[in-house]
Amino acid sequence: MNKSIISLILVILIISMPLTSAEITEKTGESVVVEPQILHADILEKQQQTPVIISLKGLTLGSILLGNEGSQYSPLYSQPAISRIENPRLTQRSPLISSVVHVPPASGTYRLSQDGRTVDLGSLIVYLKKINSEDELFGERIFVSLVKFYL
Amino acid sequence: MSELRNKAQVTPYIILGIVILGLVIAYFAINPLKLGKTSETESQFVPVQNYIQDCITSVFNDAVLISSMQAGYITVPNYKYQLNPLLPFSNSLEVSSNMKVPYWFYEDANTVQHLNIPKKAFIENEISNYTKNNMQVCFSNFTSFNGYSIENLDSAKFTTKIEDEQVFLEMQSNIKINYKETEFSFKRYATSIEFPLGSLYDSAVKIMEKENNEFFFEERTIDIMSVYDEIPLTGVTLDCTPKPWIVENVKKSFKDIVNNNLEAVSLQSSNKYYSLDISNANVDSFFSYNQEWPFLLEAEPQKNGLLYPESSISKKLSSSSLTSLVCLNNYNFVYNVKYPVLVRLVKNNHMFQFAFQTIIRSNEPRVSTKAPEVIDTDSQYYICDKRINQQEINVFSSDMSPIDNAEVKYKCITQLCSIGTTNNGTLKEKFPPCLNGLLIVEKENYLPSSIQYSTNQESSVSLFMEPLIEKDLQIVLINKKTGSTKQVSNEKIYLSISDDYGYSEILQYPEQNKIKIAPGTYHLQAQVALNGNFTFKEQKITKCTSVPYPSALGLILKRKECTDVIIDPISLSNIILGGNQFDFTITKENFLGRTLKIYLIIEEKPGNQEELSNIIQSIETNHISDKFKIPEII
Repeated sequence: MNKSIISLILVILIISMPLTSAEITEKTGESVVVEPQILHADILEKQQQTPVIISLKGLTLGSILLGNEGSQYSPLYSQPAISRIENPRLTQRSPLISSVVHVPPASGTYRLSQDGRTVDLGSLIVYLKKINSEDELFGERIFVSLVKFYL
Repeated sequence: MSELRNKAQVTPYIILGIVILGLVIAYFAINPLKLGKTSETESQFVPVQNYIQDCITSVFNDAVLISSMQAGYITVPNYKYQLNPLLPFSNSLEVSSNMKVPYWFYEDANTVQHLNIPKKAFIENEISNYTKNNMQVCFSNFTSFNGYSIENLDSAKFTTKIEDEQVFLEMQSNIKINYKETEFSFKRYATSIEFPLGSLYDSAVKIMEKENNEFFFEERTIDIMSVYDEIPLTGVTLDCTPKPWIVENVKKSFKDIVNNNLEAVSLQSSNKYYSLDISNANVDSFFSYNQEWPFLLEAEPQKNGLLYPESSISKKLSSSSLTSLVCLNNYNFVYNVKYPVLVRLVKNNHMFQFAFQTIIRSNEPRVSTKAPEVIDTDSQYYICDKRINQQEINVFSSDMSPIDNAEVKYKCITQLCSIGTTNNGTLKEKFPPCLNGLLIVEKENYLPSSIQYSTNQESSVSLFMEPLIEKDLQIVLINKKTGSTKQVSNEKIYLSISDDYGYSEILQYPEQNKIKIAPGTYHLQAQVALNGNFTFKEQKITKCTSVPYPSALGLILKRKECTDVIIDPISLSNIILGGNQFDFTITKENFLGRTLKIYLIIEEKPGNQEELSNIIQSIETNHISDKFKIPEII
């Protein structure tokens, strides 16, 4: 049985005009990559739903504190005991986000990398809604998602 | 009389009723636990059953998600070549460090083309296997249910069915959950998820078929080369001091243009040029190329990373007086281009993605120089199933001793059939009928062996296998200029040794310094790299040409005019120092030593992009250098 929540990721997607670029803040040691990095507004106008993939990687405590050297010092790094990551929920209603889905790593487990520095946490797929015109993108819109880890 | 007869008829029924009642009472008297406790017992298992069912559904959902993110593959197929700066393409597109999308069409390092579209049955099997292998997590925390235990977990069999809008899973098992003295059999469980995997997959296959039949993306790439000025293809300049194009800049522009054009492609569009004309059934499509992904661009003729508009026509006319009056420069460049395309298909907030390579050879859409190798993942459903003619396959080692457990395979057209394994060096099995198929035998620690063999009638054949012997590997670097030799120190060697029969060893030296090899003929490819932070400063290249004087003087007088080309500074995390590509043979006579010693040609550390480009280009021809030495066993 899954019993406890141990950590949170704060993912912030900032969208601006006329090009939509996704930027991710790094919180609690997680490292992320977004694809596509640049999304043209006309794609959002054309398509019913547009996926943005956010690849998640966790950094071990040793790596956060000591950088590359961190992986050499136990117990600053260790195999995480994550059994499941819950599908994130939107913490505030966004006119742009349709849904967010978490995809686990292909191995099915959250393993420590060979160098002991990172943990593959899988990916998030953020589906963006269709917009009628670029005007809907004025200003910055912030999407915050909470990802829950279960031991 | 009549009344008495009726009573006599009823009596046997009364007796039978009493007997049945007695049996029922006796049964429950013997099995007191089951009497009246059924509902209580089942209620004890309800939370456990619900937990397991929810957990299996969750694992199944993960399997479908992973499969859809990885082009239908849960496990990304292995790639036999080592990736390095010269061979950046593999059999999958690395979208990020934790996401690889297998190519449905790609060309490997030996320019062999592969069509790797998984069949639906294969994807269903992948999902079933993942669910079975990962459902352990549903039972690993089982101790939380105090007093419960589980048996026969391995008996679970999963069947997946992919439909257009849903994916179904059925589990048949003999799993038993025990609690105190009661037992619950978990025999069958069926679930489904709303995921349009079938319809997304069908759209993806249509895209790939369209691409394979019409070279849709190659044709548009050739149009890009023709239309955009940033990519010189063919033309004439009247400039007396023609300005060259920098290959790296052309490549950068090419990437940008490809990226922008791919975004415009869709399944159905009012713009016919970018429309694939595939019925979309509410499927959104995204075609993309990212600047960070590999991109191959080879342009000829080039010199030192520059493309010069030097025409053959002007050379022909150079002796005539015409060029003295008109500075006519013709250019006609020939390109080899290769880049990946990532396709994402979305329907009802569900996504399926796959990738393929777009390949241009000599300004033409891809043409295979070798027969395309189709890996038919669905092979067992066709030719391989139709086994008719009995064959006897005998497999011997080179010392004539029979080899047990050698795996026998038979390749007919594009399908590879697993036939069986040898026992006492022999396999007698029925084969699918085929003319001139390829009989292959493999066994660990033996060099694979193969022979062309027809199975259209009953027959027998013998094959011989050479045992692989582990040798120490030693690589010596030879300076191309001085001929001096040195041992590998800070360098990293990417080494690939293969033969025509399926043997392939890929090593990274000096980390891997042993190799299993046997007498035979091999093809060797090696690059010597130096890791670190290298920065090439901005480089100015001056190109001077002789041009006629303006006015009538140009008929008799010429002057020298020079142009400068600036190459931007670049930073590299590794540089190539040299390497070799050649074939070599190891005979049985010279196979006795313990160490395979390989010599590789290297050059001085390059100081700029021009020198680096020259080193890379010379790898193919380093074996004709007078300093070159063939490998030896010592």
